[in-house]
Amino acid sequence: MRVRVVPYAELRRLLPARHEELWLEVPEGATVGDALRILGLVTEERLIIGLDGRYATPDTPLHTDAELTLVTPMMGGTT
Amino acid sequence: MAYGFWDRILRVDLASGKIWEEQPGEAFFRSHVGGRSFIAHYLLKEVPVEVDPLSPDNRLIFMAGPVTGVPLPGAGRHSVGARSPLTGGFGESEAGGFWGAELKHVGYDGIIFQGRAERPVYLWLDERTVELRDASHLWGQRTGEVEAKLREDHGDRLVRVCQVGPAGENQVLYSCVINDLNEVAGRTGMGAVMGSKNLKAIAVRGKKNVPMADPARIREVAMWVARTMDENHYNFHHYGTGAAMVGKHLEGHLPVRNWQEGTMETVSLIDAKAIKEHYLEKMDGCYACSVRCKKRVRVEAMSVEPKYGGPEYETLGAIGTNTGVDDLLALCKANQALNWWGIDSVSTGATIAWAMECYQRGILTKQDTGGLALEWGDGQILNQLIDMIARREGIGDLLAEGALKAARKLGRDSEQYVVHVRGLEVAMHDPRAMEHMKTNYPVNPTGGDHTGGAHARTSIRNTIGVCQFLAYDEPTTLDILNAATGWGMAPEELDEVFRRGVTMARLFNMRCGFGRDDDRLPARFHEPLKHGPFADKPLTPEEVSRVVEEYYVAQGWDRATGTPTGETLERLGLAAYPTA
Repeated sequence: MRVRVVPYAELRRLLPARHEELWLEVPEGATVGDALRILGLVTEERLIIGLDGRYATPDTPLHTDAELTLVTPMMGGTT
Repeated sequence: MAYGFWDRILRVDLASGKIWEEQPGEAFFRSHVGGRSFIAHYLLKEVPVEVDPLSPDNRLIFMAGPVTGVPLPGAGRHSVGARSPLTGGFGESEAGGFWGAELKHVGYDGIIFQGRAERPVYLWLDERTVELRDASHLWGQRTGEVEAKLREDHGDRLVRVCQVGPAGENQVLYSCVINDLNEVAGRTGMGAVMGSKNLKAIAVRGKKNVPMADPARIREVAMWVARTMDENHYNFHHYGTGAAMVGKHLEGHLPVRNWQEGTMETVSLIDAKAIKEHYLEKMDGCYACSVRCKKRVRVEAMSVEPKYGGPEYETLGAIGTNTGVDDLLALCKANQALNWWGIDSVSTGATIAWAMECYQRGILTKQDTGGLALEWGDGQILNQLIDMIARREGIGDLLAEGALKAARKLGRDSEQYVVHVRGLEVAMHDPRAMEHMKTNYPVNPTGGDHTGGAHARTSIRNTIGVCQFLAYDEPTTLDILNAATGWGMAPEELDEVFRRGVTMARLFNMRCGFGRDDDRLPARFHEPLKHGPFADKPLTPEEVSRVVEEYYVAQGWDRATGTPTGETLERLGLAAYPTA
């Protein structure tokens, strides 16, 4: 099955130039964590994940045509 | 020879017109360094408790740091301080842009104003001239017109102007001091103090290089920033702030409707990504900075001009999500209005959000508002209220007092909906989800500001004159300070500078009547978040008390009262400061 990946801000470096999103092929039964591994985003740094506009964790199961939002935290004026 | 500073503080008595210089000396600079630490020193020394913040006897202090004005990314910062008319306590706010660096290039480290001019004046400063000039023709003008006129009058488009807009003249209590049209010392009402002194602007032009002990090291760090831009500053470089708002929404701690909600489904309509796609003309930078994190937007249909910048995260949160407005055009227009009137976007949005919640609950009605329906999400009402606040018209006159004072004037049990710490409306970061804010807001010297005045890292950057956004680690920050000054400071000594600064601010706040009971979070933050990973982690008053007491102990203050101990004052060299 395939899922749509929408990375925000610095994670847009994952994308080819001039693209807003990418489609990712994942095995049936895959989870968010599986998608992150395929994308090479298994990291110690905090990553905020949304699935179809709702908060998700690496354990959340994916489904066909799911929208996977990926954000790294950043703040204005502080660390 | 000193490096990194000139040992020249300009003193201006606006009442008599007398202008003189002070030379505090290298030992003093090394002890206090600059920024808010310097400001705390002068407030403690010269502003006793009986001085009303808007009276001539208050001081208005502009202070750079030793790194301000050296050719390094992030070195465009300066601070503005006074006793705050909004909170009644320690007032300070910092800004970027070019003005602070230009002040250093004229050959000064800071300026301290006292008194009130009989008529509106501005200060003109170049390497040969220090002069108070008539500003009657500028009074009442919006910031864009004032900057253009001063540049025309002085025949130099590189004159840098720091000023108050009409809101400062009208003493809106959270009016800001604004430089370069879109860089603001926004918090704690420094613009109202400047307006109360009949001081419209400070125009500066200088070409002196700030002397540096190790220019090669400064150049090396600057090159590192440019070389590693995508690795270390991708977000800021491409989007500025506000690119991760959807993350706060997903985690349930986006400030929405006066912090009643933590999510807003339409947040992606107004974030930095949306701005970049639709209205961004270009990214721009501050003095010597290759990160260039400042948005400049153009919306021709609404006459929004890029010279006023573009909305950053604090603004998008305060006047956007926190008032329920998801109309990006309305927010671009409001951002411009805030900058030409000269009002702090955080306090403006927070005060309007408080009024909207009062309207939601029937505490404020159309009878109070002159017929305006203060409905959540109405971008037109938002813009109308901003204009009314700046002019102190109708309900705007009440809102111009800030949320806490407005609630106390209104009564009707409305104070419980004010989200503030020590009278300063809280910035757009939720302490229920952000440890860094939980440990900052309750003990921050200015109150509900997010720029980390209570913490060592952020406070040190303010003091030395370096932007919070630069990815300098602590050793590099110290290295930068030593390369500018030649002091060879060790980390322990710089840590003492930080402790000295926050302890002086503490002494000043105590003088102003603040104590242990004021070091807390507002009731709203003890309500649970409704969605996301923090929803099941309530922030209790007991937890905040624990954080506050731990901070007291870490600073060498009494655990129960927060009063700096005699031993601490002695160790920091503060025993001789007047405490009343």
